[in-house]
Amino acid sequence: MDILQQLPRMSDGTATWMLACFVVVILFAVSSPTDTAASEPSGEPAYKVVSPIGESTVKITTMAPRLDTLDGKTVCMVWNNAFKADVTLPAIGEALRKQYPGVKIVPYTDMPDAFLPEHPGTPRKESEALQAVFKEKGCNAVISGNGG
Amino acid sequence: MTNPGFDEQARNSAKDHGIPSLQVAVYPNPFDLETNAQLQEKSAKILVPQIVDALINPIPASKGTAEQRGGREIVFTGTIDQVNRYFTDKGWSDGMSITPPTKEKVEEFLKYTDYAPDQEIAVLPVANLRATPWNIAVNGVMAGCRPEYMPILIAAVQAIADPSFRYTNHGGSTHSFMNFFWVNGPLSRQLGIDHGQGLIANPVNSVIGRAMSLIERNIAGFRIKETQMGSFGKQLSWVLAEDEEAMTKLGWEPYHVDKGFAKNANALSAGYSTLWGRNLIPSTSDPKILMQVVAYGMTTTEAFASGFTGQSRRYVLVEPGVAKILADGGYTKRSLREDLINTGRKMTYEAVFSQVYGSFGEVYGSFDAELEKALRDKKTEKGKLPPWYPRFPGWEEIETTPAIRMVEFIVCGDPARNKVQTLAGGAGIAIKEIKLPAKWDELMEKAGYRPLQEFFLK
Repeated sequence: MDILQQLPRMSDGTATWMLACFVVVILFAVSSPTDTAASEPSGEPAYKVVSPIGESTVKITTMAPRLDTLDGKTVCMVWNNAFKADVTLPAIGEALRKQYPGVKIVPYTDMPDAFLPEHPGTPRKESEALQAVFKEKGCNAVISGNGG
Repeated sequence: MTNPGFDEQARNSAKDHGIPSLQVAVYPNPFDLETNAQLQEKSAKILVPQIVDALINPIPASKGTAEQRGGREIVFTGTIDQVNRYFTDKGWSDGMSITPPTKEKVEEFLKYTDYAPDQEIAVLPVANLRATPWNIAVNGVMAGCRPEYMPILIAAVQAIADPSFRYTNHGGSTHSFMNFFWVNGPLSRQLGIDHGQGLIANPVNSVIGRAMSLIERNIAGFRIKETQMGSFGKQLSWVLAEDEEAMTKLGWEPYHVDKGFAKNANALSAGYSTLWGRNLIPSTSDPKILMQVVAYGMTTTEAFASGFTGQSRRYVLVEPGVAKILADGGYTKRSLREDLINTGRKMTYEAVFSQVYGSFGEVYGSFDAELEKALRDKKTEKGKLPPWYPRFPGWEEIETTPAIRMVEFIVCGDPARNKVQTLAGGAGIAIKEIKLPAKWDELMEKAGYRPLQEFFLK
């Protein structure tokens, strides 16, 4: 007689416990975080391996809400002294003014240059200084270029 | 705003700094290959619509950072082939066969350090991930390192994490800067880290280099097409040791002693270069001419080949036989460095040509404007044409610009040969003490090594 046929003969508690165990086993199998290769009997040893990657130390921030229009807004430009951003940024500023006559463009020449991110664990002086300039100039948006 | 491909780098790097959905406008062609008219027209027609869309339309929901699941849980179970395929598909492997990093193998490595397994050794750019002895060991296992290489790997991570190494500047660069490492001290000899013929290809050196390349991928977070934009890709890191016994005979101090370490201390240094090196074959027994040959090789080996005159840190790998000619000729490392810097100059016209037309991205003025600026620079001088140019009438009037500024010497390579190899990288460099665990001697005896003391320099 198999186990399922035996179940009604046991006390209610035992049957319930065993059923719970089967459910737990099924749930565990479904939710286990371990990836396993599709089983293929090869006779080769199976290796249980760990991840090589590091744990992240950053907190994810929330993206700023999008603007409803650029009319009446201040768009600041920042350049990295590279890849002819001294040509593309002014051209963009001009095109934006044509499309949105009420937009205020702060050219890259009136802004600090872009810089590489500070090394992890070092003071964020340049970042904080740049953020202060964004506030001082009333930047609603920043266009930065060029990356290549 | 970026060129294609760099938008992915921008988004991934932004996520690594906590910004889930950086908005990027993509310009279709390399900026530096376009005329100003093309740049202006395409900026208006192609970039501006993307910019407006990014600023005023809702951003699609982002998945946040890429999966960064460190920790000690088992992430996969499979055969060696399955593990390799899984790791490659995840971007955790370089595609070459890895040793599956089981907990047992990792724990073997942890015996060779007194740091706690989860102690933060460093937070590495670009991905701001935490390097711990545990995940350093995992990458060491994968690379095929032996557990006793663990102190080397930890010191190497500490070196690349040092702000003076400038990893943030160069790790993702299109110029494919390759990290490399050299080891000083008796530990290098005890472990068999090669300093002789073929050194970087010795398996001991190779696997340590590979481990550091895997760490670059998995803990620093530099991956091609994501955050590492080397145009032609990177080779694996290479590892050298200095031939300190040869140097002792020459009367030259080993590299780490120059940097303030005791002779029998163990130190690891980290540098980076855009190329494995320019091979020189000095074929003279005249030390002065030999120096000039090396200066010639260095002057024509810039980090970016052009456009970077005088800004590279040069590494000069000198074989012991060549070093002997120089030392017997009265050169110390200091006087050699001085002579190389004084000798290694470029014609100013040539330097400006390479900067303006071979710029690595920096914006320059017109050739005439930049030449005029360079000719006014006080470092530009007449009468210092390098010795490899003929002394034709009027040679004294040719202006030249210094082409060598920073030089490091590493004595290594085949002692039976007359080679010098010059590498060129950026300014960053770091040196760290290699810390051994308290039970090092006992562990190494069990592992079958001769005692560390036997490898001390007298």
